Amino acid sequence: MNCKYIQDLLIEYLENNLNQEQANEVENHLISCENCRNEYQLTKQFLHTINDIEDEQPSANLSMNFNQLLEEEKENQRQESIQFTDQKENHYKFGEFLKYAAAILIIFGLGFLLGKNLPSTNDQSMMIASLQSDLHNMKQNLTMATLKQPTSSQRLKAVNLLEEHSQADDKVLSTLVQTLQSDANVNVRMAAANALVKFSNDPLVKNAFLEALKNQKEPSLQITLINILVNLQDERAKDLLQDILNEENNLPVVKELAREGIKVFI
Amino acid sequence: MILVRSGELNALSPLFDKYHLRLYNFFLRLTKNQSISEDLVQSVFRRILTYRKTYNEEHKFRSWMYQIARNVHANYYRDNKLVISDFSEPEKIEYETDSAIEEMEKESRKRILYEAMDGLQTDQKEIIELSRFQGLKYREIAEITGLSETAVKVKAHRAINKLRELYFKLA
Repeated sequence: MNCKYIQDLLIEYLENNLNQEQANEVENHLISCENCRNEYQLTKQFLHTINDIEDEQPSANLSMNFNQLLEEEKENQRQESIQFTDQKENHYKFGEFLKYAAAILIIFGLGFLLGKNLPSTNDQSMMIASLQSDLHNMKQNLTMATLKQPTSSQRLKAVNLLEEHSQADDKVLSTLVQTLQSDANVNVRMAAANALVKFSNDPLVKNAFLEALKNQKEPSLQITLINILVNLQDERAKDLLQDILNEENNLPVVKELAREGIKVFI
Repeated sequence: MILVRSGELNALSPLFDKYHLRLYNFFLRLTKNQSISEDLVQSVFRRILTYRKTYNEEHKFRSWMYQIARNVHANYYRDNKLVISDFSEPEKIEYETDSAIEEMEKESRKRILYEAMDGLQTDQKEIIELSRFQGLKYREIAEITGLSETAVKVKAHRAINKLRELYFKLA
């Protein structure tokens, strides 16, 4: 019997990881070989040492630094939610730019062809104005269609675009409101809420915020909505905030914010 | 962690409480340096915060965390080939003030074990650390390292036997 082979199995043997056949092999060999019996004892002690290793305590700095890190990150998060849309914008600007550039080229091409047949300059500028408004509507419709995309990142992009490029027409607003209420992804809902802030004088939008605060259970979204409604100073939010305070499932931070909010109304 | 991902950063505190001691010892045994280990634990949690949006709940938080810890250590190791140990100093004080023979023996066995671990390659050290000291299952280590479970098993087996040989040479 090969001693090296047996010695390689000793650890597994001591930890009961061998099958019956191998275990018997080891046991039979140990009975007959004194050298391996010594090895067995040493291995046992070795395993004991390994399993006995105790954890060292770190200095208090570690926890302190962690708490500091967490506070810094929370501060970042607050600022991020304010600049949320700006930052997102930069990532896809170039692709969007190409898309628009192509659309504008086509339309100006059309304009040029039509312009040839219409010599009056007055007509031309009117034509361009009407083409521009067509282009604007086209962009908007395209963006709203993007909101039906399956991936949340595309929808997020669309919401940000609508905020950036749209006048407050009812179609855009109702699309955004619908997104806020029912998009499957919390980040998209959040972006919709932030986009709607710009139009919060519209009673439709105000109602949407109130409705959302009643229905949304995601803590991050709740926090955003509470902040928006407190800034709007809409009296109707008070009862909803009270409901949030009474609801047991809400996170302590959310409740705390709701409590602060109620104070502002009183 | 799902809460942290959705922006509820306070939810990271319990995770820190649960794991920072183990992570600290993970780095301590790999680097033999207390202040560096504290820095590395800090780096792990900073990365967890930075990359919180990429956390995927199909994996255990623990596996994800050790994946990050391995990267942090690998980066550190790459940037600082020369490692100065401050490990022995507080150890010695303990050793001199403690008169119990039993404790002394335990301490010396521990020192030999750590010395033996220095003789291992880094990846062997790591696998001993994960499978023995952090008590992870082979399946989890496979997930963390990207190896197959069988490969992990073989590697762990070789590493522990190598360590055993080194340990006996020193003992």
